[in-house]
Amino acid sequence: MKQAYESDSEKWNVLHVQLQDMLAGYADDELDKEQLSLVEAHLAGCELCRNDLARQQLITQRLNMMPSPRLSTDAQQDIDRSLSAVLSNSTPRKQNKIDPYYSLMNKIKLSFSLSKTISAAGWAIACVLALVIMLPTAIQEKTSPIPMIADALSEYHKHENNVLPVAGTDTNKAPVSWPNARLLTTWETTIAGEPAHVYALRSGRNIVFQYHVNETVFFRNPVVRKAIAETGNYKTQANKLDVIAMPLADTGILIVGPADSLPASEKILIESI
Amino acid sequence: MINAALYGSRIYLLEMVLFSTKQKRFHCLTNPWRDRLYGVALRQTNTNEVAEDWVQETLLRGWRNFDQLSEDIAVYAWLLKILNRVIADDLRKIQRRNQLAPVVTVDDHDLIKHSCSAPEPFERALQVQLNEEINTAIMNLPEEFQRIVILRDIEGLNYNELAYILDIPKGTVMSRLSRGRRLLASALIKFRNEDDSVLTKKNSGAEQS
Repeated sequence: MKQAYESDSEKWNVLHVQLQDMLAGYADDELDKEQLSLVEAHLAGCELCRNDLARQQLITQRLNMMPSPRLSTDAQQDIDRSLSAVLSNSTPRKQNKIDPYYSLMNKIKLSFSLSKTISAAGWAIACVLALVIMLPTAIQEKTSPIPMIADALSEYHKHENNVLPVAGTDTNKAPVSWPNARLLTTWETTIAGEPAHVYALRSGRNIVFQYHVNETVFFRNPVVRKAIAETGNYKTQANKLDVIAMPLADTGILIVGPADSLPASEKILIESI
Repeated sequence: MINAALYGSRIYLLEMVLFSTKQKRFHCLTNPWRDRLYGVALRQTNTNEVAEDWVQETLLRGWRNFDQLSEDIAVYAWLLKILNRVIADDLRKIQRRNQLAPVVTVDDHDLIKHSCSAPEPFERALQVQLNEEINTAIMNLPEEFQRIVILRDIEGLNYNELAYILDIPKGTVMSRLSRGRRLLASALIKFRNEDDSVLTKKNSGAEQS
């Protein structure tokens, strides 16, 4: 009996040491279900670990409030100078291996050297120019050069012909609404590498998605920033879908739906969630 | 012949336009993160100039490897991964890398005996602790703990991003962060305790006189 007791105590001690390495994961909500129940069971009976967890949470809160230093203007200029020196020394041809534009250029150059006729060269130039002008438009039609918009469009297409995910949270309100919009379901996703929340709404006869994204993702693209500074929102179209990007208090919202199905900007009401 | 030369110059002009678009894209993507990178760098050195050099080197390496940046990687995480390598290379040069990192457990004497180690007094102590004191405590942490605490608790990156930036498994992120925060808590508790004892000595000296 005594032996069994000692072995239980030893087991507890081993677990006590091992679980200390998971306390950060518990504080940051990064544990899986099994780890979570193990840590919670241990915390219930271990004051030392409870105190450590509380200290970890307090440290996180305090460090979150630390001010960020800024680069001086002189340092910014130094960096700009050395970057421009490197950029001006780089030759575009170095990028040939990776950049499709450059590899296209090379192929056309080769065909030019073989043709040996001046008129053919003229036509080749015209074709290259037409291709270069049309290529970005063709790409843009399919998706968007802005990663957050491209991700939002791809998520919409992914769910367009499938069953919508079951609600992942208890939220019963989308960040923005408009007359005849009704929330169907919500789930978590990733937009431009950051977590985001998706709200699927029925708007008349259409399904419209709202993506609630963080400020950093929302304002990352200069085109979006410029449009918002000038008109209050950013609108675009791609592959028969309309997109509106609107800033909220400290986040941003992307609304994606079939062409001409989105509400006019003045009809969109911002809900507090 | 003339046409061929003209063709060559047109192609070159076109390439230059595309190249300059790439430069602009690089500037647009990286410029907003310069200050944040500088903040992370400055928390790992005492010298402004060294931090500025690290940021500059990070951006230069970023430009050289710009084609590796894909749309599924957050620009800031990508830049931090480069900064991490720049700092590691630099520190390796001055042989500061292979320090033995101490491991503090929750049973550590300092974490139990001091009056401000319990959660409430610890919270009060943190509130009055100056930013400079906290920065010093972070800077004195062993390198591997210092970096992870800065990136998680000051920069707010998630565990997947930390694993990507530091090239370590997610489990190691968790254990390093647990140990790093514990070491930092221990350092701050000791610091507060020394401060209090200096204050007590001063007060008792004043009373005696």
